[in-house]
Amino acid sequence: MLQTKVLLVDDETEFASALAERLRLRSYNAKAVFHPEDAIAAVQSDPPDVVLLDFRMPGMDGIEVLKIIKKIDPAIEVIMLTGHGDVSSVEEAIKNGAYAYIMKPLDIGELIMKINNARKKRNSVS
Amino acid sequence: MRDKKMSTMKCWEIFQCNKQACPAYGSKDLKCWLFSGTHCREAIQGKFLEKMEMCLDCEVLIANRDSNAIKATLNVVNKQFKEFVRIIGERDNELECMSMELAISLSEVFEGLKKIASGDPEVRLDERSDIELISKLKHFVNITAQEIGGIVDQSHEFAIVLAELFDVLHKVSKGDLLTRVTGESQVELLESLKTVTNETIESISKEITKRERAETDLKKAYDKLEHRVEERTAELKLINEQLWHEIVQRKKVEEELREAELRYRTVADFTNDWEYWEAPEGKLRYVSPSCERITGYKAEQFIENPGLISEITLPEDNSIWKSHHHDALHSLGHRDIVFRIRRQDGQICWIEHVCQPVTDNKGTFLGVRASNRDISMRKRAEDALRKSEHLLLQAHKMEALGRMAAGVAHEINNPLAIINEKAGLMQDFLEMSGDFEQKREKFIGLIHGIFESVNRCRTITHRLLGFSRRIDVTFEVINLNDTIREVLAFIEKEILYRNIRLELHLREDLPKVFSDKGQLQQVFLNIVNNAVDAVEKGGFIEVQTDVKNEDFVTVLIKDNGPGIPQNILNHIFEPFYTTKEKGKGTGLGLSISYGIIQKLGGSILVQSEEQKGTSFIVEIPIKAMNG
Repeated sequence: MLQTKVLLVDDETEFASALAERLRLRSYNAKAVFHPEDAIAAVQSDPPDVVLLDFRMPGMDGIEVLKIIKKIDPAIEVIMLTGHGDVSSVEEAIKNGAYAYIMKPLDIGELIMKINNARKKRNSVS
Repeated sequence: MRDKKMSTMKCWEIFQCNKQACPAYGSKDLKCWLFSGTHCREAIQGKFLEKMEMCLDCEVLIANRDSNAIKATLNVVNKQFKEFVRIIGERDNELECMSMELAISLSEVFEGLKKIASGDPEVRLDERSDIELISKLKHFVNITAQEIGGIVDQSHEFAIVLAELFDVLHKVSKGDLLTRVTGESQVELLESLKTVTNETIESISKEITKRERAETDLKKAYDKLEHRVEERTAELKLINEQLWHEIVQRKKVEEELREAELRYRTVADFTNDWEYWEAPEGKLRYVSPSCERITGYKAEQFIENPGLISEITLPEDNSIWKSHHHDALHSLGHRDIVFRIRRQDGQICWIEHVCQPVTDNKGTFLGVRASNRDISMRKRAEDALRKSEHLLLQAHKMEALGRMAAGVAHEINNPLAIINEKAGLMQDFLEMSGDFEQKREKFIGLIHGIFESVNRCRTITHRLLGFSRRIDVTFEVINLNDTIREVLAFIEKEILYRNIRLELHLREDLPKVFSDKGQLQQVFLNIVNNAVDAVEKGGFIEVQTDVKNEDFVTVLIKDNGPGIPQNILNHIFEPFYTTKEKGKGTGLGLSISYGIIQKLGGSILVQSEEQKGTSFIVEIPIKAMNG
């Protein structure tokens, strides 16, 4: 089976890099970008299976990025990364096509499960 | 009665008279009754006929009634009768002549008198007459006629002169004083009358002239006098009016004084505050009744013992009272003071004491007039207010903190997430088998990364604690630029995530200010938060520090949000005024910020234009203000 391609989008570089490495250790094809523009470019050029998208980023709102990704390729599943307190925004994200959300700091096991489920969904769709 | 026969008895024998002088005495022919002038009876003396009558009754006759005697007697009587007849005849002739002459004379006299009576005094009767009486009468008639003629003449003359006099006097009475009586008169009296009249007229005329002159003079004098009197009267009138006015004024003033006294007494005695008037030597001249309510001691007690005020002052506040009291009585500059007393019932009471020097209208120092107010309640209220202000400030701060909490949580969350992944990675590496040496480098790197994240968190938590810890107002020398940077650090993440562009123009040589850092941070945070709320996403905020003048510096916080409409602009500093929807914001922020800056001696100004943006300018004094 192909490794699940995961794109991490978060402006906290240390966090995104560390998490990406952890995912790679678990045999995910994980890549981290730190700017929304880079995320959109990456989605266009090298479409991932799952996107882990941070809500609050300078430059572009997470929801905005979500909409654009979904527009580019609706099959891509997006999991929103959120700090406590953004729960109301999560609702909006789901409305706009987000698959799920996970709160930071996150539990890696929970994340893996959500990524796999998202992948399954994607497979079933396509 | 003689019984003896009286025959030819002699009378002197009968009577026994002895009157030898009597013609009958010793006569031979006794016929005493024929003798006249006998002395037998006094009554007979001189009266022959009567004698005869008496002799008829006399005893002598009776005694000598013989015929010779009777004859003799009759002869005598006859002679007598004849004599008588002759006499009578003579007498008759005489009488006839006389009466004829009388009649003629009387008729002459009658005629003459008639003539005289009719007014013609030209009567001259022939005065010759045998009868002396007639000639006398005629003479008298003539004289009378003469006299009357003279009188008539005289009276004519009198009449003429009187008429003249009357005329003249009449003229005089009509005012003609030049008229004089003229003519000459024979009559001395009339002459002198004329003279006197003329003299009288003369003198009257002179008198009148004198009088007229005097009158004129008098009139002149009178006019002058009247004029002067008028003047004086006018003067007096004026003075009188003035006096009257003065009296009215005085009465008014008196009335006003009475009223004022009443008013002031009423005011003084009913005043709520404990008022007194202390004379320069320390005696109390007036103490208002309220002192009993406030201190528990009666006014009289204070008056009796002026030191009572000092006695009831709490020992801790005694120095305040003493120095103020001394200054006041010596009319030195002094402040109003606040101190505590112990009431008669033991309770402690806060007194606010205000006093002024009292002087009379000559400037003499009369002492001090003081007003003492029981401000215990006010003090308590002030304390409560201060506490509540304090609490409000705290609440404001808490509100800001609350706002920041979300941001802070997010901020801390990120480092935590990092720690989580790095620790997780470390765990992964440890659980994976393999060369530990290789991983050693990575571990060191990861642990380092964790420490960095912890530091990040520390900075954030310290910042937050630093802000929340400041409860008391502490004045210190502050670098405003640093303070502003600290404040912006609180919300930098939020600014970042909202894509707000932040521009700082902080003047490098900004003078340091002496103020309270915590409160300034509170204010800046409030205003910057408002700016962030205003611009929402993609806006622009500028912060500028500058010097206004030698006393003030300014902090400008400008945004390009929608601006504040003019009608709202007037209200933004009002407490509880907010344009945010319910639940979002208390409306207290700006009002508290305004209050804080005011208390620090500065001010907040706002400029705004709809669609263009808003600028808040905070002016802060460089040096601390007093009080």
